[in-house]
Amino acid sequence: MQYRRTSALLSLLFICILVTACSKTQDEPIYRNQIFAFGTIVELTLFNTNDETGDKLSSEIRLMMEEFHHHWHAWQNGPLTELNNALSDTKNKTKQYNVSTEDAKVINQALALAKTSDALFHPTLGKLIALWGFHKDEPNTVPPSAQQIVDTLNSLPSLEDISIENNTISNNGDKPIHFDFGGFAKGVIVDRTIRFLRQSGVENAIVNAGGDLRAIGSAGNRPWRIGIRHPRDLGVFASLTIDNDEAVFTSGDYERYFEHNGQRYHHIIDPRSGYPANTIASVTVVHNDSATADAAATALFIAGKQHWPRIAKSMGIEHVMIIDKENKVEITAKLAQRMEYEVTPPPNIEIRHLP
Amino acid sequence: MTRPAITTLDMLLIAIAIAALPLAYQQLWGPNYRGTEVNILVTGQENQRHSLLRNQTLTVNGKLGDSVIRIKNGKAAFINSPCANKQCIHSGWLDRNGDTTACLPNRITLSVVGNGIARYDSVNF
Repeated sequence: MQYRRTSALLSLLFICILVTACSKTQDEPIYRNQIFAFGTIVELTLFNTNDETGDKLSSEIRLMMEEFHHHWHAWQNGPLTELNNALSDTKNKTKQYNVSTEDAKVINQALALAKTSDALFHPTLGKLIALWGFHKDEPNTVPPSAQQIVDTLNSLPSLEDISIENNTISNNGDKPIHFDFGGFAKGVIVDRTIRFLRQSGVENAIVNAGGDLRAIGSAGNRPWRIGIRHPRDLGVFASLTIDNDEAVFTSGDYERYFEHNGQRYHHIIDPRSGYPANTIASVTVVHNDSATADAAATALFIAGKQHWPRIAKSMGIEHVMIIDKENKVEITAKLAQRMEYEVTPPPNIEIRHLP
Repeated sequence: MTRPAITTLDMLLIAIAIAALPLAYQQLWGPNYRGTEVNILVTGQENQRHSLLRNQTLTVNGKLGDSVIRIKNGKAAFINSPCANKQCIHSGWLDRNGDTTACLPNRITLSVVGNGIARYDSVNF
């Protein structure tokens, strides 16, 4: 009898030891840092990187991003405003401007994405964005008048007005061209930062620039896990793990906006109407190229519930999640397999097939 | 008189221990999401770190002016800021490892850090 009692207590002790013996004792060797660059917060997450190396890389990345930000800034004096002035100057009869090979490559990629998006991502909306007041740190508090919007839309160039040959950009039309690479430039600099990290020997990292990110490698023996913010709440709506090297970009109506007479006016302007696109709350795109993901997130947001699958197909995007204003999800089959929903109860989900 | 092999008290002890196993498992093996400190980043200044265990109100000078950050009962939040939209204040209280919010116009970020593993390595928005 005494034996049975002892063995029962020993079994209990054994279970306790089993539970506690292998408990985690160390944090993961992850370097995290936040820097202000590119007009936003950039969060760097580097696996297996010590503080000294991480701090050095952070400083170099901050300088690189600040230089890029100045170079492509749409309304502060710099190389892009010089280009815009040259292409809009009525005294410059040829309305041409020479750029570096690297800059020509960026502009070419933007124009190519604009064409595959049916011009929903449109890199020459500078004047329209400015009219809405989103060319400032603090946006306007009242929307522009209908007449102002019509006048501005009529003054915008078409994509066909722009050509690039041997690094020379030409305005072949009679309307001024004001490039604005918002909705694209962030993707370009994220891609460049990842390239820089790889050249510096970092193979496992996340670069998150103001909420849009690209992740490479893994966190040791587990994949990186990315949360996707709820468009109408403070928490995370869904999450997914990264498959080796992917960018996750979201466009939402909650990012930059102002409210007037109870109505929200956000920064994603439909180039067809001149007003903020208005059928969905957010679009998340997963793709291996950040610049493409950035432009696609903007274009699909503007395309709206009816047309986004067609535009996604045209832009070569297979992983898309739309959250509408009632928190209903529309998602492609490929992304649906990977998405985990973090809200209770789970959302209504519709799988949308690309044409 | 012989004593029973396992008394009622033994049974109760074993039942309590077994009932507590899931909690012990979660505590010892599960991810620790709770933050322990708050990291305040102001552009151009040294990072500030404060324990979430000490209740206090901090005034932090940013690009536009003073933002007020409160630490209370293991949580931290923006209480006031000179920005127009007040999105930083609307973010509410942060307490989980990895939670981050910012007053971008005032160039101040607030993020919770901890000893454990955050649920998400990064948040897309």
